[in-house]
Amino acid sequence: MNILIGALLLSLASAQDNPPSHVKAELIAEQASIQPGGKVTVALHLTMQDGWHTYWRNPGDTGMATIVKWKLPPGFKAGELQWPYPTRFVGKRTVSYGYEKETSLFSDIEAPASIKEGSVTIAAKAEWLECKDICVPGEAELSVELPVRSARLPGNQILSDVFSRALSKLPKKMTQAPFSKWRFSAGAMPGYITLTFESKPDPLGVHPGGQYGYPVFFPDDNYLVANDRLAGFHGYMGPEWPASLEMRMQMSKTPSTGQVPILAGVLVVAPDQAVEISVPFRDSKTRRKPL
Amino acid sequence: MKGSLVIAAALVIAAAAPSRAAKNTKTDTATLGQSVPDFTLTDSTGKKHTLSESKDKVVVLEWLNYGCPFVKKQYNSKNMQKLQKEYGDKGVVWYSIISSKKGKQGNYPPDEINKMNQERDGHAAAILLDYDGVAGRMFDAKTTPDMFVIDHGVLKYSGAIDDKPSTDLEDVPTAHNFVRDALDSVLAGKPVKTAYIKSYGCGVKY
Repeated sequence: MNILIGALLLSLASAQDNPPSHVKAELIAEQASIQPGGKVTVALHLTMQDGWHTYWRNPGDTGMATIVKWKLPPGFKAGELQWPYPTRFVGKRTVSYGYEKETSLFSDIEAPASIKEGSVTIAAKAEWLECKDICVPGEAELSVELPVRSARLPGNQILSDVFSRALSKLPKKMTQAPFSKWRFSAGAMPGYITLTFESKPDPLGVHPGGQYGYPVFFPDDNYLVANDRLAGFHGYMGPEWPASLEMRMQMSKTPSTGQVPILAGVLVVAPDQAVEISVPFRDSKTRRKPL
Repeated sequence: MKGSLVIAAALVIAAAAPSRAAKNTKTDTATLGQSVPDFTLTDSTGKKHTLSESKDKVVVLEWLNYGCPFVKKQYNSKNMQKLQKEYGDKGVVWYSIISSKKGKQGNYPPDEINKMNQERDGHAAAILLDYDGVAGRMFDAKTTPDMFVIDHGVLKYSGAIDDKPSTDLEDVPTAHNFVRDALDSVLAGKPVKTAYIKSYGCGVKY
């Protein structure tokens, strides 16, 4: 009896210390095995309860970027974390960037050529902030075991679906099709920042609508582009439309701590069509000066 | 047709910009390097405080929500209380401000706030209740914590408490504290080197 009460008290105490998580975290691997000297894509897969969200690499005005701390066998290397493009969460005076329902954050794990047949454990500690009307920190120790095989084994179908859903939201590089045929440029005008993209003489094939009618830009730098809760992202169709489109974004009213020579972030031109942007400003004279 | 609509929207933005800038005058919204607007708020013990009464002093405004994990990090590590005490002893007036709307996280009855403050051994001069968010909007406080340093009525620093945007207690000892920097500078009569760093934390529950 006493033991029972003790157990009950213990569970109550731990429930208070660690509020129930609204996010389920798993580590999943794209392939069912790893080859010596080979590479496997591993994802931190987060499933959020309705109304709860976690954050992008730039959380915006509030929140915290999810952290993945890899714990790998000797000789293994983890690539940079790859983030699917986020959605905007608009608060009373804030705009934040993150994920609802589910997301996967990817990393390419490289195995050394010297590993022997058997199995390896890819482990990671994940830390995130989950928010609805309140915020709760979450963390999990996760691992996935992979057999080492010289031949590549196919992955399982359920995991493939999870991967492909999130992979479709990963931004492409500016050097990848169709963006390799586009030209990007950035400008700073009093009060606003412009991002122009053109595919002359071909049409861009982009819908110009503002306020989520696409395109949308997610900045890496909060000092430059305002995380504007009003429709901050407007397309301006100049005379060269549909081969050229200029987006205007409200400039952050808060002073920059220094000159930011590059406009960086993710441009989403249509659902599941995003590109990683890094463009120097057109004219250094129009760059924002620090106060 | 669609095209002209989009152009019109862009023009509206351009037209709206000057008025937005004009709104950022000292009477309305706090701006770095300018005189701060004034407010009068009641504290958790029922006493009224007017910001301009401290116009000959150095004042810290700290946006507070005891339920927010980023605030918990500062209070559970005793870092916030330490700053409050250390600079309070040097004559700095430290106001913690709660702008959580009724029914939202962080909005508690005054006696509960006093109890929580006592439990945490808080050393703010007062905890001001801004439940309709007037002061919060005046300073455009976005997060808890969000920090402001005012020297003789002029806003000298606004933004993050430190450079570790996490909820992890272990980050506190190694974090670089921008409020400490700003306070040391103004108390020494020197210019504040870093006047603004984007704040981090939970959204203020307006």
